[in-house]
Order: sequence, then C-alpha cells, then structure tokens
Amino acid sequence: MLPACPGARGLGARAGRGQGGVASAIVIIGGGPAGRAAAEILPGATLIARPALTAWHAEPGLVWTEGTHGVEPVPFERLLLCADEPLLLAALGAAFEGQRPRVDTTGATSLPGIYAAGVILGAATREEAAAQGRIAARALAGQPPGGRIQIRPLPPAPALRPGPAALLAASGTPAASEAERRRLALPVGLCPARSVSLAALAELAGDMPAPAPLQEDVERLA
Amino acid sequence: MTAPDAIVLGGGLHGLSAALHLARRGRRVLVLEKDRVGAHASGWSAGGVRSLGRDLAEVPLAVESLALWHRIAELVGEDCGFRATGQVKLAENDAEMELLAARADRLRAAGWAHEEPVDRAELRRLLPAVAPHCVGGLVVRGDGFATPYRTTLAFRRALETAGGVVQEGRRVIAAQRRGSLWFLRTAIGEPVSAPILVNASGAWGPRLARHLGEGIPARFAAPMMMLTDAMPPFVTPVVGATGRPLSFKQLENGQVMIGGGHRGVGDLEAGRARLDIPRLAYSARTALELFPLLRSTRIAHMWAGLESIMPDEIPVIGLSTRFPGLVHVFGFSGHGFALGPIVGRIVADLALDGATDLPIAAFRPERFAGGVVSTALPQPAG
Repeated sequence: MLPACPGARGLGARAGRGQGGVASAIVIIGGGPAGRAAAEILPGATLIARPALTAWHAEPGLVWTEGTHGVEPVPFERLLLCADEPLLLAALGAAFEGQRPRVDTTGATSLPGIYAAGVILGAATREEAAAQGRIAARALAGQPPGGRIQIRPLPPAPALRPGPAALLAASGTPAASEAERRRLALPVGLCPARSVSLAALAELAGDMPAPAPLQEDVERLA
Repeated sequence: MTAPDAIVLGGGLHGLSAALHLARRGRRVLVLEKDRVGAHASGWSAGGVRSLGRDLAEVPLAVESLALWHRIAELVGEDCGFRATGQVKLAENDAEMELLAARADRLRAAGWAHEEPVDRAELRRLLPAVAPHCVGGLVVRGDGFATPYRTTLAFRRALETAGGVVQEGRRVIAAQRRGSLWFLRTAIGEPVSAPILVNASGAWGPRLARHLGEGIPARFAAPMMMLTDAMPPFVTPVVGATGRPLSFKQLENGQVMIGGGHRGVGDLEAGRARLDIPRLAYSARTALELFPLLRSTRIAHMWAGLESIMPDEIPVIGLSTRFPGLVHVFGFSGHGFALGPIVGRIVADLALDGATDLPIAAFRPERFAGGVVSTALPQPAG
C-alpha cells in the first residue's frame, strides 16, 4: 500500500520544499520511458525530470534539484532512479558492480527503498525500459513485480586513481563531456552527479552556519 | 625486500616524505598503506602551500618547507605543479584589517617578516576582480599552491628510486613492541617487523596510538571543497578570508577551487565522506560575495576528504614517550599539505638521531595535559 503523498505532479514539476513539511514518500527520477511507466503505477509520486528539473545530488532522504526556481531539496522515503545517473546512486552509497548498480530482479539496489530501472540498468529499447520501470515501481510499492529485470552488463570500468586531481587529469577537463566525466567519476564517487549553478547554490545559504562538530573515532585497530 | 629498518604506516604525503628522507639516509623503508597511495587527505587536499596565518609554532616549519617547495624538483624530480602565486588573506572591513595588521606586528615581534599588510589599492592590484567592499589584506608573496595527488605520486617515485618499498592494501590490525623491534600484523600478507615505526596514518593515526596505549585526543573531520567549470583567468594568488572560512584559487586550466573548512560528515570505516550541501551553499555564497564574476559559473565537482584534527589545530610530530623507535606524525588539522616536504626530514631526524634542529616542542604527542592555546589566524583547510 502506498503511503499518503502530496498530489500527483506531472513531468518536470517543481518539487521540494513548500509541501507543508510533508516528505514526498516516493520520488522518481527520469522522464524517459521507464520513469513515465513507473509514474503510471505510482500516481502519487513526485517525478523529477529534465529539462525542467535536474537532480544533481542525492543523500539519504533527499534529492537535490536545480530548476527555474533555483536549487531545492526534494525529500524522499523511497526512490526510483530511471535516469542514467549512476553518480546519484553512488552518492547515496549504493553498491556497484563495474559501472552498473548492483540490483536484484526487481531493480532493488543494495540500499533499502532505493530502486533503479531503465537505461541505468542497460535497457536496450524503450519497451524494455518501460517494462523495467513498471517492475521496479510495483516492487517499490509492495506489489507483485510482474516480471524480472535482466541486467545488461557493461565492460569493466578502467581502474581510476583516487582523488579529484586524478579525475581531472584523466578527464582532461574542461574539454571532457558530461558523460565522460561521470564515467570517470563513478569509481571514486565524485559529486555532484551533474553540475549546478554556483549562484543558485549560494541562494540557498542563510547565516553563516556554526562549524560542524568534530567527529570521534572509537573503533579499534583490528 | 630484506628486513626493513623502518616501517611507515600511511601512504599519504607525510608518510611518503618521511619514508623518502629515511631512505635517503640509507635505511631500508617499507610503507604500508591500507588503501591506495594518496587515497585520502593527500588525494583530496586543495594543495595550498601556505605560510600565511599559521599558528606561531608552525611558522618555522612552514617557512622552511616553503623554501623546499621553491626547489621541490631537486627533492623529488619534478615541480609537483607548484606555483608561487602568493597567498592573500582578505579583510572585508576595518575590524578585520586591524586584526590582520596586529597579526603582522605580532609575527614581526617574533622575528618573522614574511606576512605583509596591504591596503585597498594594493589589494586591487593583486586581485582586480575582488568585491569593492574589501578594504585590504595580508599577503605572503612567496606562498602558492601545488597539485596534491601529483605531489604524492612524485614522492612515491622518489622513494622507490631511493630503494623504498610501498605496499598498498595492507591494513595493520595489530602492533606490538618486543625487544628491539616493532611487530606488525596486517589484514593480508605476512607479519612484518622493524626497529623503527612511523605512524603517519592521517585520520587513522589516533587509532594506532590508542592501540598502543597512547591517548592522543584527536578527532576527525571531512573538510569540503568545490571546483567550478573553467573560467577566463581572473585571479592569480590563493585567497582566504578573515571573518569566514574560505580558500579560493584559480587553477591553470581556469577552474576555480573553493574550500576553506566547512565540513561534511566523515566515515572512517568506509573511508569516505558525505557532503553537507547547506554548508557548501554558504561557501558558494562567500565566494560569490567576494568575487561577483562567479555568478555565471557552475560547480563541476564537490568532495570531502578525511582529516585528523587536533584540539589546538596543530599537528602531532614527535617521538613516543612510551616506546622507543616510534614517531607519531598526524593531526595536521586540514592544513598539512604545505608542510609535507619538511615534515619528512624532521621525522627522519627523530627516528634516526632522536632529535631535530627545527623547533617542534609545540607538537609533542603528550602536550595536551596542560590545555590548549592557538595563535593562528582562522585557517582554511587545504
């Protein structure tokens, strides 16, 4: 059973704050065949789709978006990623096998409540992507999935040295394409998944925040 | 290799620099790195080479290290991307300018003249794109920046050329002193032993100290940074702020690196960190307010590294008071990159001679019994 959600929103709808503090229980990222098919199964979900709204970063419980209204966080309890944005899953801490997120036959990733479908899993046709979107949406909603997702493996990713300096050297910025940058960034989990306007991000800032507390290590050597 | 004379824990810049100096003094050195060389602070640093604004205790080391940076190729065979662009600490109002002027006076009184107050006109000459409200600054013209990962690899190559051995993926799970040797067990591979052990484990350094019964009160943090898309050249020196955290530089490819100390959330077990977007937003706002021409650019990368932070924000560099043959060198508190070249020499001195000619009493591991005092200006990470 789906939890109560704010009213259904269309493709590329502006989402995020301003929902009376109620978390959007389910968020779908991607307005392609998989995302649209999933939205039909999950009519109360928030759909984040380019070009109106771009998901540029994710953290547990939040997708960060940029749109015509600036940068905003969109809260979620469950998430279905139908866009080719593996760095969003990497930022959340999902497990990967090569360049693909590790998922089961319903698209469930290694993280509870977070699913993937469509082009990010290698769907070769629009029909296959839509079918994957429906399977993952049903599974996410607790319904029988009605099928199995077949993962299409990618060739192993090249080993990448650590650190942004290595990434920048390898990608040859600024000339590298967005896709190349994301491919190279995945093994080190660099953020953000897509670039974001500095000015729009700055608009989010309020007063200078207090320093984040230092953290204590209490673990043992072994 | 045959039985090593020294084992260095940590394949970051400080561990590799220590290993290089030990190897150049004829010792057989083994570096054990739990992940990969440069995988943590040394790979994620902003690369600032800064003597400006440091705690007075760090100033002699920073000045000595800066001299080494200016001839870094003699040490490791390449320039490590070092550029002596200068560093500027901005004053955004008269009160901050007074603070900076007082700092320069205090430094001169201590015998150091490298920090130079500059007025509004000179600030604009140095930083034509700076916001009009900035009233002046404090400058060290010989400071600059380098490329962190490239630097770390250069130290590794120099070490290996000198006969040192680096083993990656070897996490130490036990350490014990028996007789005249340190015995280490690692998660994989055979146990190793040597008379000298250097703890250069960065954010994990306090864990080894604790394992050995030395309670060094370090914490850890994950300083965050951002990198913009490439922009036309508009700023040459590295820029910091006085009243709020900021480290700001434009790289040769035109990208602008923005950091300075806002922290994410680190995870030592996973070896990674989570970003804090609202705090990054404040960094973006600070950068934009100081350099309005950033308004049209986009942020291409964001990251956070894992750093060990000491209560007084200066490092631990010193011999253990409990065990012979053990040197602790960690806790650089987000601004250790610049000290890397000189710290290696100091560690080798301590390990082989029991002393060094540089003043390091302020960094002794056992110093925290008597409270904490800092003499630094607010320091940006990196």
